[in-house]
Amino acid sequence: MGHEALAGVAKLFGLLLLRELETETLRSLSDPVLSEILKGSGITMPEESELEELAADFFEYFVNPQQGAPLVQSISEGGSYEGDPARDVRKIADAAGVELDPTHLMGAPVDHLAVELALWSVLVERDRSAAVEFTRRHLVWSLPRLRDNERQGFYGNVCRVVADFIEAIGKAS
Amino acid sequence: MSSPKKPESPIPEATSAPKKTSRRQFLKLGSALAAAAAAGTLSGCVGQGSTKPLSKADNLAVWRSGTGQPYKVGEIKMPGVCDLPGPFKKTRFPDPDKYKNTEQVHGLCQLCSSICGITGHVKDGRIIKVEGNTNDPNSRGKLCARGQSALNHQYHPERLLHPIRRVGERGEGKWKRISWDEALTELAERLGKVRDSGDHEEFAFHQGRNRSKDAVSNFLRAFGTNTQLNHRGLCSAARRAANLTYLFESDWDLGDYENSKYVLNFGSNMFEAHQGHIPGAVRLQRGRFNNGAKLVTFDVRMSNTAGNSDEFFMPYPGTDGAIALAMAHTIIKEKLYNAEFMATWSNATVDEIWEQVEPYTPEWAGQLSTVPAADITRIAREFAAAAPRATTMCNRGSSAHVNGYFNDRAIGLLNVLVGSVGKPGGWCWMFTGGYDNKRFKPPKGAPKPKTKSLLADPPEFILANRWNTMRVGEIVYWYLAQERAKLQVYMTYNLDSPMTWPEMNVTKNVFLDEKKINFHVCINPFFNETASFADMVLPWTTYMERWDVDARGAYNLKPYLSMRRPMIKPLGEARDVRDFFPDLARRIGGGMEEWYPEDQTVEQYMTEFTKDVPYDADKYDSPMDFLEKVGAYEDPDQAKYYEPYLVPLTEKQLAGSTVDPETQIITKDGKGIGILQGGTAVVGFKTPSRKLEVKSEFVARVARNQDVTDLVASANSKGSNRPEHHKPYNYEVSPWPIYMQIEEHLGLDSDQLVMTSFKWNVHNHGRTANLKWCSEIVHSNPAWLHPDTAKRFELEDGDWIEIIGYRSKSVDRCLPSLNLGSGEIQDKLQIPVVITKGIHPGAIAISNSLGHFEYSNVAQAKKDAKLSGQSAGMNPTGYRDPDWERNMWWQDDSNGDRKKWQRNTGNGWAQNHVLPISPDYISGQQAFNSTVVRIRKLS
Repeated sequence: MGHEALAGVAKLFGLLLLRELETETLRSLSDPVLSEILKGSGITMPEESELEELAADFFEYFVNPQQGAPLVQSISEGGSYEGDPARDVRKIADAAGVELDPTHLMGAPVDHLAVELALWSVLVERDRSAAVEFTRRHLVWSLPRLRDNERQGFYGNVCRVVADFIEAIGKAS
Repeated sequence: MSSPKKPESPIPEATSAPKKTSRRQFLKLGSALAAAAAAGTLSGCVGQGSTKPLSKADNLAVWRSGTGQPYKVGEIKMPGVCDLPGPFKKTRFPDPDKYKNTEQVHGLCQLCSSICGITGHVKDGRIIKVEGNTNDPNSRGKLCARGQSALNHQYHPERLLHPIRRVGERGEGKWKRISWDEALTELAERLGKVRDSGDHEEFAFHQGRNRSKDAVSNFLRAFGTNTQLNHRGLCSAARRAANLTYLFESDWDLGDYENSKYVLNFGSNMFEAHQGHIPGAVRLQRGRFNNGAKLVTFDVRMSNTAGNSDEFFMPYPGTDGAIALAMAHTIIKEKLYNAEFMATWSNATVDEIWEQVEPYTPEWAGQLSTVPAADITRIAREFAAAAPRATTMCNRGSSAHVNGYFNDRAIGLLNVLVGSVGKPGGWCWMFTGGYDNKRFKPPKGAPKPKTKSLLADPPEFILANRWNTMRVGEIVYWYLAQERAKLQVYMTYNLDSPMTWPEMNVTKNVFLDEKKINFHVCINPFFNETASFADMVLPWTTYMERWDVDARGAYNLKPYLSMRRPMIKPLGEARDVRDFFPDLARRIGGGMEEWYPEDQTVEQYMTEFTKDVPYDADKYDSPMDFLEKVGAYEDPDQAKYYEPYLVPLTEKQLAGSTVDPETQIITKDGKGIGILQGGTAVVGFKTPSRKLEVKSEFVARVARNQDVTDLVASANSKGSNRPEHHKPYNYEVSPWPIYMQIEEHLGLDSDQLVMTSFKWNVHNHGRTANLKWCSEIVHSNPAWLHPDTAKRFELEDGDWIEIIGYRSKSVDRCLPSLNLGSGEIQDKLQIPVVITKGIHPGAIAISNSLGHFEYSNVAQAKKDAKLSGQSAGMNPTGYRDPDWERNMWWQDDSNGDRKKWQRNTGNGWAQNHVLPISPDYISGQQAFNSTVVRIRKLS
């Protein structure tokens, strides 16, 4: 049960880092119970009226190429897209039978943190040791990026909580 | 006493997290999420619903085999980046196995205009190396530093991966990501409104470099606009116009350098730039090594071409034409011309030409140019003696001037006089500047609309659109600023005009004015300066991710055809126009969709495009298979395009023709088809006189807006009357090659110089400063000054000056309707100087390519990727490139304090701050090299 729960959390964080918060997702997460738990975890859900402004934040924090914003392992570690992390993630996904469908990825490189969190969520339910190794190789890299205290507001909180999450699953291993 | 060392954790400690979320809380969250998911209220996460049935993948051993190998010392970690050899790597550096088992995919470079053949080595879905394709008949496997930096371009950490839409004010820098669907929906709506308004021409497509001509043309034609703008005026308009005046058939000279004995170069920097750069340079060097060809260069600045010439002279800017005319004077005076060729193929007699060039003595030219008269005379003799294996070569050095058209007319005259035109080793050309589009036709597209476009055919410019559509790029923003035109939708494509167009200030102001440009969509692989002023930016594919059929001027003098094909899938959500234009057209509707078959893929389109390419059926399955495996086609049976004017007319061609008894021109159905020479009917030149047009009645008449229908009919190749909207703009233009004095160069004040521009061998004009390998080599561009000039201004190496640019008196006099004036331009430029004898004392040279204020950290010479203004450094918040961090040494830390500035640091200076809008009224050529500037030393 523990792993299944954590897999669900990883999927949610993957979703939040992959694309801008949309009305439908916001409404789902604003369920009173869920939003209270999220708040307890450090994420206060915004109002629908804030979505446009949040989309601009999302661009600035996670998309803006000139700021080096994308949370992509290859560029964070090696300075160019499609580095060895991308190759390895692709191989792992293939071996695990996970399709990295470009439509689902919204153009995110396969070694984008969002994709890696989603892949981790699959792995952790199948082979814990593999998930541990995956955390070490493909999630931990993001901690300094997520802990950037310049990010404010909703996405600033998301980043801090995702960092805590990765730290927690890393330490648990 | 040292404390016991803590065991190393893979998890870095957070430095300032106020309160951490615990594992327990995450489990609680997970349970709640599971409940929500079960209730169907939360879906759409990555991975959900995307797993395929597991079979072997369930096997742990198989699963683990895919986890990748541990990182090893010596492993090549990133495409194209070799770790420096360390103590454990000496025997494996470079890695001999790196290119084993790679897939080799042929394509075409597009980092400059030469379009060299390339081969990408692809492994694990990644390109790990790009090199020259030895099968490419034009570039022959050679590739310059730009092309070798392809991986910097392809996998650049600052590539734009998603469509974005501004959410703040234009130019404010506030954006959000949008989907392609949203982008195309909005674009379709806006373009639909343009169509509904009836002002189709208010949709402008403005290209920097476009190698997908068929796809772009089809879209614009289907839409119904002729406002397709380019940068021809900023490139080669004068040279093309001069070539067309002589030949009509082609605007592009292709000197047969490989077989030449003498190459007379006026301001071409073939070894570093030039549209024919690598293919031309390869043949030029072969000619020198194999034939002992002599290369003589006249250039204001010691370029790499000049420095590697057998002789190099530094003329005063804009006097190339004077030197050429003085050489013509010498050749005629000393009877060194080819009398037979002149009598047969020149439309003016030697006596008539002498009448024109008699005043142009070497002494006169020597005074103007500062090149010794004796050298001018000697080189004229040498050139004539080497003929017919002698050719001139020229480019922007001579042509990017207010008098550039006449400079290049004068230079062309030398080839006529010595009879080297079309001869082996001489001055040659081709009937096409690319592939043979009569033999290999793109699938049928929409017909050209008949609507008028003021921006595409500005009425003041005589020859800009008379033979080919050359256009006058540099006046586009000025026209908009002057409210002579406006745009509802402006689509920029591979264009960085704020950096490359003259008067950056004008460009910026027009970009920011929504009354002048109502909506601006930018298509580019990177967020460049143009993007920063756009309303929407669409991520474009790189040239390694898209399809094209392409070729350039063929230096083998027979046409070839190459294919650009995707080596890998596009990164992110990047899309090519071939991919999304059909979708956009269907959304706009109104008939546009008819030109885009619903079920045709880009690959199918390319298959149809190349269906007539011959191939060896024993080796290949189809034309596409052949092009995939070889990359290029050149017809082995096609003769070189030598002396095409001597091709006899066939009996069939002659049937029903008549011969004009006076001119000997053969016409059929009212159109010229050839000329009778010595009793033989031959094709001749495809000009009105069927000869080389030393004297151009066509130019003189179109300048006056007179009817040239008869001349065009006789040429039966190219040429047209000026349209109705040109009528108010009439000029008297000499039909002869003459010397046109640049007025503003006379009587300069003691603190005034002539500013010239140039390109480096590792950069193009505006698109390579983001390539780290190229920018490591050239990232700074102080102004070049001669020691004598520096002494006059009491300047030492590294001192700073301020430059004030002036608009052109010549342009203002010839084109009063532009209201440019001849005063100071608004921006000033502060720049350090480098003192060198490699520049004429009357000139100051500043390169282009540099001084970016957008276009990646590399282009801005910032060592640290930054996020939200926080420096990354060793505590990275943005991307990290160890290669960059290790090797980037040229960041300018002076913070604008000139005293602290260190030589060769920073990202350079953009010359176009002080470069005036300066179009030649004849061809529309931007006079990059004629600018008068005033300089003063900064304390």
